[in-house]
Amino acid sequence: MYIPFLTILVFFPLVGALLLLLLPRLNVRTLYTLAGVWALLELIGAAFLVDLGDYATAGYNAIEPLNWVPSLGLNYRLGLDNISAWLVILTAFLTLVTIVGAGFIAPITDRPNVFLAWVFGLEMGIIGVFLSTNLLLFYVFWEVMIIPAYFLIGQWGGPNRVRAAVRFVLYTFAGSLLMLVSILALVFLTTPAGGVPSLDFESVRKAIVGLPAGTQDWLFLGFAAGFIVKVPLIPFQSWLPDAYSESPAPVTVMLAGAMSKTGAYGFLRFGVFLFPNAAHDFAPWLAGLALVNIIYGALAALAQTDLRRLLAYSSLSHMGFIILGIFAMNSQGVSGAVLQMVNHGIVTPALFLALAAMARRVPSQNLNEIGGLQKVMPRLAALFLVLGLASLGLPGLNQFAGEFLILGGSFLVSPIYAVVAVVGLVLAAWYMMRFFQAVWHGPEKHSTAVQSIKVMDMQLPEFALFVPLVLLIVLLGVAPIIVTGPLSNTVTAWLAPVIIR
Amino acid sequence: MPEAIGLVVLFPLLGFLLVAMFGPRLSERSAAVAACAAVGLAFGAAIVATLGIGDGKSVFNYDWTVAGDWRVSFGLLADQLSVFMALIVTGVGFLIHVYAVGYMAGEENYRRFFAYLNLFVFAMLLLVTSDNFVLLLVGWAGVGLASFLLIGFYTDRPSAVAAARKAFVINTIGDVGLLLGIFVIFANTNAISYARVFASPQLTGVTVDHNWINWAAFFLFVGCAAKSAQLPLHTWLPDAMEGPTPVSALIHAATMVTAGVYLVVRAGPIFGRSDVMSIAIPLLGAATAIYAASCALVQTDLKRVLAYSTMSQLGYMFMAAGTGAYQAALFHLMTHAFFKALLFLTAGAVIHALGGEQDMRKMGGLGRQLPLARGTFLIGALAISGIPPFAGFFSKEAILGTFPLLGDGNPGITYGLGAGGQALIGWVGVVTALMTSFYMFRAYFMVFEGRPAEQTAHLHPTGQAMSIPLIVLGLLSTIGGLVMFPGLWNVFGDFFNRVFTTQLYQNLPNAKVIAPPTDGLEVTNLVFALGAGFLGIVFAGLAYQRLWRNRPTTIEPLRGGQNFLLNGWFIDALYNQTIAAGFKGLGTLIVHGIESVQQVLVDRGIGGAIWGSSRGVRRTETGYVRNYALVMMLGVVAILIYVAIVGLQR
Repeated sequence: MYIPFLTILVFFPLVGALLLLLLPRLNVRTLYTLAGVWALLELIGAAFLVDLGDYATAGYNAIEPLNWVPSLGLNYRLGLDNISAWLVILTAFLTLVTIVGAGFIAPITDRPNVFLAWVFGLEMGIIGVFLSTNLLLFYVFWEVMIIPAYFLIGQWGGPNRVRAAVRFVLYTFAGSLLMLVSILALVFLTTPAGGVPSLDFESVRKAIVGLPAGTQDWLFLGFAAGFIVKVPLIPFQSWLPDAYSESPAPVTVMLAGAMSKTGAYGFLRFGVFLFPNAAHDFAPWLAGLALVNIIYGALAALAQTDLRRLLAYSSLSHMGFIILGIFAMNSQGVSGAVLQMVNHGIVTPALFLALAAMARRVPSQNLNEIGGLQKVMPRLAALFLVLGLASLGLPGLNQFAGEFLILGGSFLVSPIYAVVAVVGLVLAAWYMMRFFQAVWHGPEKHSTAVQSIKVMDMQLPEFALFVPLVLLIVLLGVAPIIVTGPLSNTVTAWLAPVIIR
Repeated sequence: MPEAIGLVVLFPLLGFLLVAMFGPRLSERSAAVAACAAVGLAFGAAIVATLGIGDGKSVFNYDWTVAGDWRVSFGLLADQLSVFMALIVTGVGFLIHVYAVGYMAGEENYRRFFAYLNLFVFAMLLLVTSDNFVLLLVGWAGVGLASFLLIGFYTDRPSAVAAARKAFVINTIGDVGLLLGIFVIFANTNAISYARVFASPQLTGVTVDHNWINWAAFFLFVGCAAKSAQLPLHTWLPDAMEGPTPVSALIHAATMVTAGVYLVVRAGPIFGRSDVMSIAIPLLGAATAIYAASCALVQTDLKRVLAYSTMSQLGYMFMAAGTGAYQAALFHLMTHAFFKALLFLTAGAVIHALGGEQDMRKMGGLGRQLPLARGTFLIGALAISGIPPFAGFFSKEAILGTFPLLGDGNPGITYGLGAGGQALIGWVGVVTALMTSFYMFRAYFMVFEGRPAEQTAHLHPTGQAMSIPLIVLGLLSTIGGLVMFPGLWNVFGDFFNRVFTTQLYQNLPNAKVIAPPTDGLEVTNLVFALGAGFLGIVFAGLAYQRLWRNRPTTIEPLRGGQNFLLNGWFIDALYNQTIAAGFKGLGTLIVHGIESVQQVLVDRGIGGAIWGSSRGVRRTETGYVRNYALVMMLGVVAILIYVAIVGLQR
């Protein structure tokens, strides 16, 4: 019997969302438990995706075509390789983390069923992006992502949530319009006279090579506009600090952990793999922008006193590494970038949630108003230390493994890239330790903030969430081959035409 | 058997995990016992690994990561160099753990301290037993982390917190330097394990490209300089004395700071072929040696004297290691681990007795009340001053004997330094030796001799846990140098023969200086170095004899030149006001300048229309208008797509 496995994977969350909206009023705890189970099922399904047994797999492991409107080039066509497999697993995992986080760490009790429905909607959009192998279908999922993200930021966030949500939509919308123009132009340019248009990834990729170089460049730039905004790269970042810091922490988990990866993934598959020539032309520029991101984000984090904004800038800086790896356009850089998408997707959400756990106890998130908290909450302090160390790239923890390959890959292209990027690592050590010490070490600040601590150290639900995250951080630091092994041949195969040209 | 090296690394890790995770449930005593036992067992395992040393093949290999044609495999190595370092780390480490049981008694966070200490030992052992550069870096960064945690152990002291952060950031500079070095090596040899890199034809071939070797050696040395506090990355070490004294003894004297020397020796096949670094490292070592000694001359804090002294002695080791005199460097590394740990622990005993006082100007005449401390400090001071027959004499002679003073040049040094350069380094070594014995005996006189200062009435006793390590280290500092007796025997060298007589080292241009001369000591050097040692003691005696008669009741303010030296030539202040302030300023500019301006522009400009219009309607429709606007925008997209496709169909 034929089972459209990928299709089920994409729409299973949507079914969950609809069920949540239709269900009678349940109490909050039951609702979150049900949603958690639903997300767990999705994660288990996703976990079967990676072709772990055989490192030799290259290209797509599975393709699910369905000729939707063939005469229009709009095919419903899903495909899976080991790159998208890891990102789908990450997204499913982060959805579960978000639900646990919203249920127990930073509780969201306002219309929880609607909230959860939007979370599942966002999950569907993101997974759809990772699995689409038709350009127009990709675009549809890309736009679908915006709606849940908009409502999640705008309805459950902090005081400035509406401004943050509008700003987010404006930016992403502007970027994706340019991408749409490129896609439409591709339809016109690649359809043979009187023939049937096709926007399937493979056929477009073959057709693009025949286009004039200048045209390829312009088309590439259209796509790049959409991705740059989503990652984001400087100077299109100004939606990010607000969106990350105004959203409730569980939403930030989805935004920073999963959604930011769609931009990087887009750059990889619909940038480098789809437009090898144009990617070559623009690689130095985009690598340069990535370096700007790394340094700019790190410097901003160094000067921030608001902890959530500090983490937002830190995340921005780390996204720069991922883009740098992609535009090294060699196996080391690209494998490292995909590995780092997974790593960043674990560490950054964990940090935001840990901060939320702290914020429940200490009603200030400003460096200048708190201090010496290790004495009251030693376990939470230890958690922050591990997460901070992972984030600053301590060798032995997971982010180092990604940075190692990314920097190695870019070093092979030009040592200057690596030399500039490591300045970002030094700055990361600086701002992370400043952050950690200001909160946990130093003399206790006898401000109202510290005096009104209600709950003491970490509680059981928090252990249940953070212990697995920390174990993953250690595991992927000690044996990143778990991720890079299955990637190895896939990446090499995709890059072959890029490197040869 | 070489597999025992696995246990060497495993025991401290288990100790750390046990104390860190179950710390609150353990009694203080059992936490301390567990931590000591972990290091003690590791020491036992290191002995087993030494006795059953195999052929130096790596064990416990597994693939860490893979990408394209890069494959990074991790494994542990039990060759002479690794087990030697492991013996020092676990041996001295065990003694210091035992000492800390007494020293830290009654401290808050007692268990946490031992957890950190075990973490350090684990990371340090990983560093010295790794069989490749990447795992080395894991250990390298791990010891930096442990150092950070222990320097900042007294978390409510702002100065300790700042010192810890500074140490961490500067060590991260070293880490990324090392990382870049790894990339240079990987890119050029396509290998990462010592065995494959050092045997690679790109390195050993007849017509090799010196350019990449120089870059590799340079970047690796950035790591060494940061970890071993050499110029210009040294500013963290004096401040690191904010940590508890056992930490200073273990991490900032005996073991971690010698990692740089270890790496220069370990990667000798690279450093020894770099024409630039073969000159630069000895010169930087010499510069650091004399610079740090000059700062030590005027320090008033007992531990800071020892900190600068450590930096200075490390400079000696780099003079030797950078030139290719690996045995001499390792020899001094070992004796220094003994006598500097001894000096620190003795200083700890004094500080402990005085209830935390570290200012030497407030000490004095303590010899009568603390006879053990006086004895061990004296042994340590004599050893570091190079007075025979104490350990430091032999190892310092081994180093200085490499650099003939009269400008005739060492015939073994055919690469790198010329005869003049060798003489220069030799003379710097001699002058530094003079300064060394001066500042050590200045400290000795200020602390132990003369009339007691007022505050020294009430003394905490030195417990047994603290005394026994002092006695053992005192013994080692006294006789530890005899393993290499010039002209008679060289047990030390025989042990390392298996490593240094392999082709890897014998093919190096400066292979002849790896072992010190077997036919006795260089006489000129002996005379000058010994003379310098004794002269320093005499000068110190003359300068501080007034302490015998009366101790000044007020503390005199320091004069200009003294201030300059006291503050380490103001290098730290310079860094703070230029580099650090520069980065902070840029950050502030971004956050309060660029970001705000950009947001205002976006909100008022592009977003202005939508934002403004929705604000108008919000009063009546409670803000849902923007949601409709979003849906409309998406509708527009759908129509656009439709129109375009329909257009295409025609």
